[in-house]
Amino acid sequence: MFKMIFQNLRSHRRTYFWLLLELVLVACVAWLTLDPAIVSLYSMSADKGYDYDRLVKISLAKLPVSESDGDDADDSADVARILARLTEDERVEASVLVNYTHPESGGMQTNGIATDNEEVYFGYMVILMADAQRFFKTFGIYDVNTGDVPVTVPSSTSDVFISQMLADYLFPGENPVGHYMEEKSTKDFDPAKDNQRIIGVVRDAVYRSDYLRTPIVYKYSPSDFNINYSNVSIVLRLKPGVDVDKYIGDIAKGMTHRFMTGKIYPKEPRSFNHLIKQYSRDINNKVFIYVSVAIFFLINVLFGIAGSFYLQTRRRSEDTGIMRTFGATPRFIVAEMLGEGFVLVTLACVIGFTLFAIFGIDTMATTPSFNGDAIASVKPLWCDSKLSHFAIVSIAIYVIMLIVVAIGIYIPARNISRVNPIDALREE
Amino acid sequence: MQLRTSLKQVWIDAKSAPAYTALYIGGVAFAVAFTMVTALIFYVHIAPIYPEYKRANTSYLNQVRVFWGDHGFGSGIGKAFVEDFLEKSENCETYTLSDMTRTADIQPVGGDYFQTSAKYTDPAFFKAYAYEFVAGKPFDQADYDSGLRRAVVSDKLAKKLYGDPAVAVGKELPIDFAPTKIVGVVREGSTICFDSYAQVFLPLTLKGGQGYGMNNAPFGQYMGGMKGTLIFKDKAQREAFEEELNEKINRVTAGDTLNCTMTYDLQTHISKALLSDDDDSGMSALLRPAILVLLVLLIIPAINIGGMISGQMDRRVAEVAVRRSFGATKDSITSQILFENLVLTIVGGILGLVVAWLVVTIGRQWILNLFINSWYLESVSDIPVELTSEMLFAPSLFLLLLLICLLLNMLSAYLPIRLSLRGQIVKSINQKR
Repeated sequence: MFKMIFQNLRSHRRTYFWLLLELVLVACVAWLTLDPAIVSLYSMSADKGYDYDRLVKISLAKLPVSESDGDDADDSADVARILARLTEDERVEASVLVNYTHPESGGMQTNGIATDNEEVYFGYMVILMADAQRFFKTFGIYDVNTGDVPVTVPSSTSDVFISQMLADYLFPGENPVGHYMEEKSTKDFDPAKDNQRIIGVVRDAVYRSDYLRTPIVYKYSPSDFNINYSNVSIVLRLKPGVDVDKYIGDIAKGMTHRFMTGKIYPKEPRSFNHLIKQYSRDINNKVFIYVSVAIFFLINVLFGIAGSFYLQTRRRSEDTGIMRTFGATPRFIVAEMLGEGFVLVTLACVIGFTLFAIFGIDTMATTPSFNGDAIASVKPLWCDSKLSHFAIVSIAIYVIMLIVVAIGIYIPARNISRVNPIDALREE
Repeated sequence: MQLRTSLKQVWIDAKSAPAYTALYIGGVAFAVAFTMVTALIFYVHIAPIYPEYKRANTSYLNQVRVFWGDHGFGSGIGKAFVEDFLEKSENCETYTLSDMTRTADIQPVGGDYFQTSAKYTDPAFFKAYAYEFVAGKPFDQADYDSGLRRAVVSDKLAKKLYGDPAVAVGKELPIDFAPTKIVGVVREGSTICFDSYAQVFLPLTLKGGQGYGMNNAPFGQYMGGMKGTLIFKDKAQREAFEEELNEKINRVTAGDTLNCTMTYDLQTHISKALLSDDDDSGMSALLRPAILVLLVLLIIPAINIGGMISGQMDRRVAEVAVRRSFGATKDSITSQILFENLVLTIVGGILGLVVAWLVVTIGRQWILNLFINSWYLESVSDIPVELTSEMLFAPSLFLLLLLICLLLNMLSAYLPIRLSLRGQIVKSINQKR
């Protein structure tokens, strides 16, 4: 069969030349388009590290004030009352106050530390907490050792929890609890100065859906929850079995007046699924665009292959008719034609991928990670290594092209294989 | 070449090979649909669309930055920047200051509150953008300077609140729980024009703090929370404005003891629509490979169709040879076959255009903002996108379609036809086909 495949490829070389050219171009373009799509889809599907399914965020706002209005202490008390009233609902399991730093927030605070072993400035996200235990319980972020909500209570604003990848980076092989983050700084460390003491390590969480890996420091900082200066909101965890959309529909009715306390009122209840969809819009659009372009080219391949084989129907019918008189089965004939297509795809992929490796290897997509290069050393992924990345994506593209070509060839091949041998001989 | 005969020939060939015709037209329609959807997406963000009719000459002054030593500070523009650099410039037709569109709480009488999109701006906004007033007028400079709570609302919002937009003028409406008097009602624009879109327009002086500088930076008086939209007469005026602005900034920063440098972002609307972000980490990084791919967007289908035509020419070798034996020249045969293919290409092109319109109409909520950074769309993403005839039925789009069809036809058909005419007449006639 292989001899026959190569003979047929040679005899139809003029037609197949166009196809091969097209397949080579598509192989290159598929790399440019499908690679970022595959990497982005992989990023989006990764575990977020916290339970976002039953989380609802409710924003807080303040009525226009005049000079005679109450002071900040009244506002804090009003905020606390609203939080308590929302938490009283039997559908609510846990609740916490958040500001602009929380998972799936539009805002962020970042900081960094220069480590002395690599002299690399390692950046990390900062999440500020009004109540640490309540925060971890509501978001479902657990201690890496106990697998439960961290029980250590911060005694001051210098006490921090850090995420596992940050712990692995700063204290590889050690237990960082009790240490100070600044110990690893390139600057001289002085324990008497104001340093951040690590009191717990929690599992990694994704700060926002457009990032895959985010090292996070969780800091106890109640002074950063003043509604006059920060975006203070409430996050609720609903109990298992509660329909989140129904809850939001119920709570939103007349919410402003029902829960308004003093000058503070709640508004805009949104599920975390909604927030994730909102913040992953750009990455989803990017995936959509790349996948659309790839599908466009693959459908063109389908048209091209189907068209070429269809046009050969009459000539090949005579040839296959004679083959059938010599005992070839229709299955053999279809398999032979599919073989021609697979050889074309294989040749095109070898040429196309080689061209890409020479000219485009540096354009390979990377995962959207905060502090990507440094993170790759502690939490490497398949797409961090050029070799594994190239191999995996090349195989994926090769398989996709094989499937498309097989679909394009099958129907004309089946028609050709069903020719009556008597009619073919009579024609000959 | 006789038109009627050629069209008849096309019809006969199409009927005799329906599968080939279907594949050909389908292939062209698919390529055209994809290209036209992409073109439409860019078109609605670049072309003059109500109320942004001056997009070609619009620029945005979004940010001012100051650098000194290892330090830097960036922000929107402040009151002092406007007074020192914008107000006295003669190289600008008009400018308007605004905040980014945000949500506002509206509480109608007897109803529950709901949210709407609101923009804080100045009276010049309604000169820069051609909003049509269906009732009332914009808030004037006196209202603006006094910080009075006045609002211009969209006709759809007015209709939702009062039934008839005309009666809205003079009514007092709690916006963010503060009573605000409606002074004008405008025909609502489309959320595609997100730079100018809002359902409520309020004086920027109500925001407070927008114009005030940053105390903790050198030249901090020039920074604030405002964005400037500048309309120029033409490109030459824009360039003159930039030159004038650079000169003024240099004069102000000359002799500064900290050796500060002050820079600004002045971006044209067109570059913003095409790039959608100011730095490489945003959507602009996406568009570069996408543009490269678009360049081969038509080449791949052309190769496809070229292969199919090459196969088709094999079947017509004898027919063409007979015609050549009767004296037909290669050029006349080429032009006739090109014309036949052009007819099929145009049929495919029209089908593709219809498919593109359907795709854009059905998926308008997300597809038209596919290349736009979600940061710009935060307050308008839930508002239904309105499509108008000026967006879909522009003459330039039809011309583009025709150009695509001609290009596809030439790229795909010319070479296979010329190659098939190379053989000797006798050999071609005797070739068993």
